This record gives sequence, C-alpha cells and structure tokens, in this order.
Amino acid sequence: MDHPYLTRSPGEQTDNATGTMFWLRLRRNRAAMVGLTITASLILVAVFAPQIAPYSPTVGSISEQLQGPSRVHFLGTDDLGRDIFSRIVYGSRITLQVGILAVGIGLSIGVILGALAGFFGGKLDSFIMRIMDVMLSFPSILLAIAMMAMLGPGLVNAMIAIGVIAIPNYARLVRGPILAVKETEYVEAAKALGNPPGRILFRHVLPNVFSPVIVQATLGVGSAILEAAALGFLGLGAQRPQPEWGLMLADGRAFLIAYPYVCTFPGLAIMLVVLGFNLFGDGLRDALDPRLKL
Amino acid sequence: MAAYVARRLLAIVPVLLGISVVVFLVMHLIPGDPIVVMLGEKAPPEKVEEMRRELGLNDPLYVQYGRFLLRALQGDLGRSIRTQERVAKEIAGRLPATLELTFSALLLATFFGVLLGVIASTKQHSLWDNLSMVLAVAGVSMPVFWLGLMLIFLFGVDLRWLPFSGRLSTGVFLESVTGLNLFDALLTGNAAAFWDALRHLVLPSFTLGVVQMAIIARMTRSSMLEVVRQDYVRTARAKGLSQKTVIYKHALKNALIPVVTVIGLTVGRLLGGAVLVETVFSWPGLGKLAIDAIYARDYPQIQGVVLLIASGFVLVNLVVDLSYALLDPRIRYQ
Repeated sequence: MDHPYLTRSPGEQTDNATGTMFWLRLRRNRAAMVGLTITASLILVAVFAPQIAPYSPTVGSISEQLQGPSRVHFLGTDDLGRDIFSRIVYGSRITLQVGILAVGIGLSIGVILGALAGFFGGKLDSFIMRIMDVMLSFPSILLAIAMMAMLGPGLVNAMIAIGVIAIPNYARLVRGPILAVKETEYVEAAKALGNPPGRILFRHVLPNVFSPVIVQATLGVGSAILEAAALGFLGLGAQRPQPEWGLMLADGRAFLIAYPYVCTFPGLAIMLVVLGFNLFGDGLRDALDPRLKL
Repeated sequence: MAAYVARRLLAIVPVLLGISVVVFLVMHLIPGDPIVVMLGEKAPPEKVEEMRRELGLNDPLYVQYGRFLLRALQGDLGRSIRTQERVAKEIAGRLPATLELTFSALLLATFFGVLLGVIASTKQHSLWDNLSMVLAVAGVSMPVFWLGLMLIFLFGVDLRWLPFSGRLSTGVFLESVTGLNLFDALLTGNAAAFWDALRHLVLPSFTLGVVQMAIIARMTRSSMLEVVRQDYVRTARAKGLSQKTVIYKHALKNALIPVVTVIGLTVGRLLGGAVLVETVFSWPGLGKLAIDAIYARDYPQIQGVVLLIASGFVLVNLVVDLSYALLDPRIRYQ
C-alpha cells in the first residue's frame, strides 16, 4: 500500500498554482503566443479544410493552368489548373498528420527505451544506448532516406521513417533524468514499501521527465514536418496527386522560371507552420523551466 | 592526451560496426525479394538466380555480413546494378563535388557566423543583433530546398547574376587533378575556370550554409556575452587594452570553445542538407547519386553512399572531440 506522504513524487504535484504560474509565464512570452496562434490556426485549417478551400485539391481544369494570383484563384493555379490555395489548405491535413504520427512513434518508443535503459541500467542500458549512438551517427535525413530505400516511397512509410529517426532524441532525453531520479529518497521509499519496479517507473519516475519530453515533442513536430516535406520534395514521401507541400514544390520546380509563385506559397506555408511549432516549443521550455532561459 | 585519443579511437569502433550493420540490413530488410525488387517483376528466373548467386544471397545472414564487412574494409563496395561500374569508383568520382560544396558551406557558416555573433554581442539589441536573431529563428524553420529554389529564381533567373545548375559552364574546360574544381583551377593556373567554378559554387553553398551560419552566430553571441563578464576580461580592459584587442584576443578565444562543439553537428546537418541542395542545383555529388540510386533501386550504390557519409560524419565528430580536448584540457580527464 502507498503511504501518501512517503511516496508522493515531485512530478505528481497537481497543484493548481503550478499550472497557473506556467500559463502566466507562457502568456507573457510574445513569441510563444505567436507560435501558439500559428499552431492553433493550422489545426483549425486542417479540421475545416472542406469549408475553407474554395476548390478541389486534386481536380483542376486545364484551361485554367498556371494562372497568377487573382480574385478567382487567390494564390494562382498549378500546371494542372488546380487551385494552389485549396491545395495548401488540404495539405495542412497531411502536414498535421505527419507531425503528430511521426512524433508519436518517436516519442512512445524513445521514452520507453530511454526509461528502461536508465531505470534498469547494466547490460540493457549499454545495449540500448549503443544502438541509439549508432542511429545518431547518421545525419538524420540520410537515415530517413536509407529507410525509405528499404520501405519504398509513400506517405505512411515516410511517417514511420521520420518517427524512427527521432527515437534516440527521446531515449537520451529521458535516460539522464531517470538515472538521477532513481537515486532520490522518494524512489527509495517507494521501493522500501514493496512497489513493483514497473509501478515505480511509471508512477514515480517517469512523471519527472514529463516537461523536457513535452518541449522536445513540440519542437519535434516542426522538424518532422520539415523532414516529411524534404522526402516529399525528393519524391520519396507523399505521392501524386496528394496535396503535400514538399511534393508541390517538387512539381512546381519545372515551372519556376516563368511561374515562381507555384513554388513560393507552399514553401511559405511550410516555413510558417514550422516556425509556429518552434516558437511555441521554445516558449514552453522557458515557461516549464525558467532556469533554462538564455 | 595520448590516453584520451586512444580512448576516443576505441569508442568509435563499435559505432562504425553498428553503422555497417545498419547499412548491410538496408538491403536485407526490404519487404519481399531484393533481387525481384531490383530487377523488376518480369525478370527471367535464371537471371534472378544468377544475381542471387553473384550477391551470395543464398548464404546465412552472418556469413553475408562478414563478407560485406571484409570487402568494405578493403574498399570493395560491390557493383552498381544500373551501370555495372564498381560502387567505390563511382563514389570516388562524386566525392569531390560534395566535399567542395559542404566545405565551402562550412567555411561560410563558421566565418560569417562567428563574425555576426561577435558583432551582435558587442552591439546588443542593435539592428545586426536583431537581424541575426530573426535569421536564426526563420532559418531553422525554412526548408533548405525551398530557399534554394527562391534564390535560383531571384539571382539566377530574375537578376541573372549567377549560374544555378551544375559545377561548370558548358564550354569551360578544366583538367581534373583532384576533382575539386577550385583547387584544380588554381593548380593548373586556369583563371577563367576558377572564376566560373566559383560563380557556380556561390548559390548552392550559400543555400546550404546560411541556416548553420545563423545558428553559429546565435551560439557565438550567447557565449561571448557570458565571457565578457568574466574577471580576466575586466582585467584586460583595466590594463587599458583597446576594445578590439579585448574582444578578439581575450574574449573570443574562450568564447569559441562551445562553438567548436557545434561544428561537428553542423557538418552532420550540412552532409544531410547536401542531399537536398545537390538535387535543387543539379550538383553532381554523392547526395544526387544516392537519390538517383534510390529511384533505380540500385541497392549496392545506396549502401555505399550511406556507409561513406555516416562513417565520414563519425570521423569528423572524432576530430571535433579531439580538438575540443586540445582547446580545453579539463575535458581530457573526465
């Protein structure tokens, strides 16, 4: 049985005051608020894409191909006469999906591996961390490309590859603090009370590494979006006629010389969204742990 | 120091072995039969069997890995399926282009990054300071291939200042000595080719380096701001040394130590980014070779390029670690 005072871990604090302080700090950070607004807008656009987009993202009319921005086509049309604005709006769904799924894969596997390594130590620790070292010794986009060579092109495979390359980041992030936390008195107390290791790990140790993981995950969504766009641009990620932003850039490349706007807007969309996640992630870090502020 | 070097050298052996396992597995974890994937569904069965024997795919996996490793150590990476050329030879032909690109991007990023960082730290909250901040935040959020496309349009198409495809203009002749165009032009005293190669290098290396430049600038800035508050900098000022001497001789030297560590990471990002930048600028380097190999499902070639780049990255990080220990003796004893 748990004793309420002996085994309450710092991470378990459900104090309302902590939450309020966090929100106050976050709200004062103007860059973080800009990031939050961009992120929230992306989610809204993705959810309401059919209502927002004036045209179909995949069907165009050849008679309207490669038109510049106008009142009819807000951001112009591409070589197949498809409305670029509508494609960007629908593309936000793919972008959001890639970000969330890839981070989900990387985070869940990474946190579990890192926690196992840090908590149980010994041979398991060195085995897991050596594998992580090897994965980190590849430039990340190169590892993603090698995995795409193995899995074959496609959006789902791209999400898997991007998720897998993020695993070592989370594993390393979680392992360090867990090594420190497992020596603390409240974990000793939980052990002395006869709690099984799994329960100690999930209830008393893991909650303590929650904040750095949240920060890394937010920043991770941004880099996952960039990597997915890169794979799309290389023809390894999303496939035609999906309105994926990186793929739109690859297709627009052939018309860059005469119709630069075909490439301009999808790129701006990627940059804006990634910027949003980066600003918000930085803000979260400052608000969750003011000591880290530079 | 010798003990530290030995320790670091030993530590990279398992990492290099791990890389070789990953690269080996790229071909063996393909869903389905790799030979059918490479030759296509319609390949005649006898051809499939012949290739299987040629690649030794009938042996147990550990035998195959052992053979792969032994050959790789001797520089034999197999033959390309597309061209039947030795992979090592094809890589050697493409390597100088990638080296030239990443090295010039690294030079650009470090030199201007440190310079911008120092200016930003001495003139806090000035235009330069804010500009480098905005550039750093926007830079890490920007798809590098999109930046390349925009620069091509602006400087290549609209203003017509710079070429944006390949390494040399057609009609410019350059005798190949090392494969590094700028270097070869200097060696052979070919001024016209030097100028042409330099102009071709500007846009790709700027595209590749600019984001890293911004990151290095921010890093230098925060490190400088910490260092200029130290006692020895105050002492240098109190001695009556000029601002320039204090900043560049006393402060910068120590501020650069943390910057050196990010250079290793920078090289990794540059090598990864090179794959994209080479595709945008039709730069005939390793990245473009890898992408073309993926389209053609030419697995030996993909393996070769990935193995080389990853091992190169590990060695660069080793050099960075060693130079770090040289700069800061405390590291050696940890």
